[in-house]
Formats: sequence, C-alpha cells, structure tokens
Amino acid sequence: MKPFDKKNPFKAPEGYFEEFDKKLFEKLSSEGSVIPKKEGFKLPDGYFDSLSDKLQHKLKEEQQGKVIPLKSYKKYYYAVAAVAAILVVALTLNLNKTNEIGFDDLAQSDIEYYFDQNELDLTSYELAEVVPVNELEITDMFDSNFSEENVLEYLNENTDYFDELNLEDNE
Amino acid sequence: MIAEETLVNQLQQTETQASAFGVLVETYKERLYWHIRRIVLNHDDADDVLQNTFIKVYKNISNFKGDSKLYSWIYRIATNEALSFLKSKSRMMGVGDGELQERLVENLKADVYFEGDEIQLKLQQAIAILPEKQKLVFNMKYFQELKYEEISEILETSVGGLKASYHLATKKIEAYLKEQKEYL
Repeated sequence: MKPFDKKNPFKAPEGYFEEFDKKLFEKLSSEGSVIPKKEGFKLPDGYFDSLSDKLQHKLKEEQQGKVIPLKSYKKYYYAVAAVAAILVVALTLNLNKTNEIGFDDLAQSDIEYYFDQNELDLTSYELAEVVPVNELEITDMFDSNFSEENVLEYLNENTDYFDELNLEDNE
Repeated sequence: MIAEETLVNQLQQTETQASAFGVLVETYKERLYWHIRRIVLNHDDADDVLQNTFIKVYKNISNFKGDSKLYSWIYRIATNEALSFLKSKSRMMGVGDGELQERLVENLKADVYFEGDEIQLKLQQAIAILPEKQKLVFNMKYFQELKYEEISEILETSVGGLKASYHLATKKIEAYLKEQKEYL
C-alpha cells in the first residue's frame, strides 16, 4: 500500500497569519456597534508629501495675483471699449452705405433674374406708362440695325392684322 | 512639538512667517484633510478646499487675536470653506443640498479613491441624510475622536447641544444600517 502523503495540500494566503491578529482585534473593537470605524477613503500616494510645495506655489501665485488681475482687467476694459467703438463706427458707416444704395447699384443680371422668377401682372398699358416708349429706339433692344424697309416687309408678311398695329398713330 | 503661542507669534512676524507656515502645514495637514474629506467626500475637492483653507489662514493670521485656540480657529475656517464649497457646487449644478449629498455618495461608487465595501457605502448614505450639524458632530466625534470641548470651540456650540446631536446622529445611523442590513 502506498504510504499516506503527509504533505499538506492546502495553502493560506501570503501574510495571512501576520494579519490575523490585527483583523481579529479590529473585529472585536467594532463589536457592539453596527457602525464601521473604517470609511474606505483613500488618497493618492505621496499626497501629503507634495502638499507643502503645492501650497507654496499657490501662495506665490496669489501674491503675484494681487497686482496682475487689476492690470489685466484694465486691459480687458480697454479692449472691450475699443471693440465697442469700432463696432459703432462700422455700423454707422454700414447704415449710411445702405441708405445710399439705389437702382443703379443693382446688377443687370439681378434685375433680369427678378423678372424671370416673378410673374409680373402688368398690362401693356401699365408697362407703357412706365417704359418711355417714345424715347425708345429699335437699337435699344436689338444689336443689329434693321432697315425700315426690311421691318415693314417682315410685318407685312407675318402680321395678320396689319392695321391693328396703329403704326400711323405713333408716328 | 512647537507651542501654539510661539507658532502664532512666528506666523505674525514677517521674517519668521514663511518657516512657521511650513510648520503649521506639517502639523495640521492630515487632520484637516480628513476633516474636509468627510464633508466633501471626493479627494480632488478635499485637496482644493484644504489648500484654500491654508491660504486663508496665511492671509488672515494677523487678524488672529488668540480668543480661541489656533487649531479650533483653523478647523473653523476649514469647516466654513468646505461647507461653502458644497453650497457653490449645488448652486452650479442647480440642485438642492439634499440632492447634492445623494449625488456625492453615488459618485463614490466610481471613485478611484474610495475602496469601501457595501456597508461603508451605506454608512456614507446614512451620514449624507443627516442634518448638517449632526453630520459634522458625528464625523468629528466618531472618526476624528475629538473631545466635546474641542468640537464645542470649533463649532461654537454648547457641549450639551453637541452631545444631543451626536446621540441623535448615532441612533439614526444605526437604525439606517440595521434596516439596510436586512436587505443586503
């Protein structure tokens, strides 16, 4: 028969027995109250060691800050005042500019676009009132010069009611 | 340890002020940190408030007349700084004091500087719902183990009143924890 293995197969966590007393006494001291004595708060490593340096730094900043903020505020006020003044001038100029805009400032293409896009509900009489027909020359509308003879010939061939053109009245 | 009176004298003299301030910080940093941390709960906030407390002490040391002990004067500044920090935090977040306390405890769950177990989290919940005075007294007595006379000087309240506050706080916390234990 194989001899009985005397080696203990069980293991305890490292440092368990060193910590045991401490844990036992902690448990004993908290017996009788349900309120734990430990809170679970932690803090970064070396926090207290670096605190003095941080404080000295902050103090220096505070002491220098006594003068600096006033100056920077002044600068800030000047900057705001300057920006406000520029804005007022720019706005005034712009407003004046807006007043000066007239019909001549409109681009020809814009006017054409407007007439293309908007249906004008104007009768030929209304148009005649606005458009200076008497001053119009045939060349205002066409680039090529037409001879009167050609025009009359064209109208004669293509107009059914030649008389309705009232050519004589407008002469 | 340097006598308090000597330290105050050195703090009020320009030529010894810097070194005396170093001693003051060394003497009180840990105690004040934990006092503040128990009020604001979060490490970064505690760090900010602690630094502001020391800077306030440094700036106002000339006004310290010695009517109370130096440590209670400093503790009072720390307490006021921590409480006003929380007030401005709740204003900024647009929530009431109660809701802010709830959120602070809730944030502990994800806080890398909090390693408390379930019962320690419950303890913080129990403390959070206490009225301000009871909360302060409980923390100062139970965790910081200050004497009633010392707390009385810091919070400027009678010892009798403090004892009553502490008793009430303990009872409320115990009741809360017992009730929670049943659900755990």
